[in-house]
Amino acid sequence: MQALFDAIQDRFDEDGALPVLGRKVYQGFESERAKTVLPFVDVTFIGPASVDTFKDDVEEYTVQFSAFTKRVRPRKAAELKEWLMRVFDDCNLIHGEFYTVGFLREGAHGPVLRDGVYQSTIDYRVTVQRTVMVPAVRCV
Amino acid sequence: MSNYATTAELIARFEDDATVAHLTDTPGGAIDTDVLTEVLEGAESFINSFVAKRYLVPVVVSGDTGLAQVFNKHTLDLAQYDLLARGDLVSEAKVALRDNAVQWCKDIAKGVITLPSANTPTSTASRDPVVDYGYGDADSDSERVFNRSKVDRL
Repeated sequence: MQALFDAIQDRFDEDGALPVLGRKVYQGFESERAKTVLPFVDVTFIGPASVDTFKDDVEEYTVQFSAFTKRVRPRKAAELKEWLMRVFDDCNLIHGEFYTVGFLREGAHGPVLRDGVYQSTIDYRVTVQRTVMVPAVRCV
Repeated sequence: MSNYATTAELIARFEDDATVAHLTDTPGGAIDTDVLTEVLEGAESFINSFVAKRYLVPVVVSGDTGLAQVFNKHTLDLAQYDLLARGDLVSEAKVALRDNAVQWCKDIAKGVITLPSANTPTSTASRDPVVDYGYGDADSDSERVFNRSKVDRL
């Protein structure tokens, strides 16, 4: 969901410390980001799983944050992970296309040294309610 | 100050200034231009160390656009690699660019590649030798310190 990533990116960029600690957030997989300057944060999405209990469009995503930092700075890796949790745990993302229902942390791992860089991962279960109906042709 | 590339050109190779600031160890702040100058001058010196075998260095590239472009490209390839390597992670594409630049330098030194408009060093063929080569002739005033008979007695 592009809107969800856009909202995550806005929250990341607008934080005072995250752009300094983690530089930038990307949407995609780590292998595609090998060209990227360290440090950086990758966000990947699994889902959505529709939660169509009511007539509203409620969707659930598993969102994984992967933080990559320089090998020479192990402390920064842990610091970045903690700051990501501080900024995103139970956050209320603001976006015109959805309301945030929940942003629940389900796990955090690392940092571990992998291929010469420190990597930390944080998993969230994100539930959103769309304000724009899907599909657009559907009658309200 | 590099003769072949500028710090602005090196910065332009990255996605934004913030990225370069991270590479120069000033995250969230201004780019440390000293680091950029250091890697650019390092790249230029590296190139010159090969090129000097056949041409006067630094090569004057101002009169030849093609020559300027090729020196600019290889200098930036080397400098970009050096800058990225500060972050521990360099992609294969950037490594390949660096290897290509190194090979180019080696080919110049070997004479495989020629730089038509670059100045060659002044020839030394016309210089008078300080002393004659080989054995002194009959007219020579110099007295040999060692000769066959003296050495035989040792």
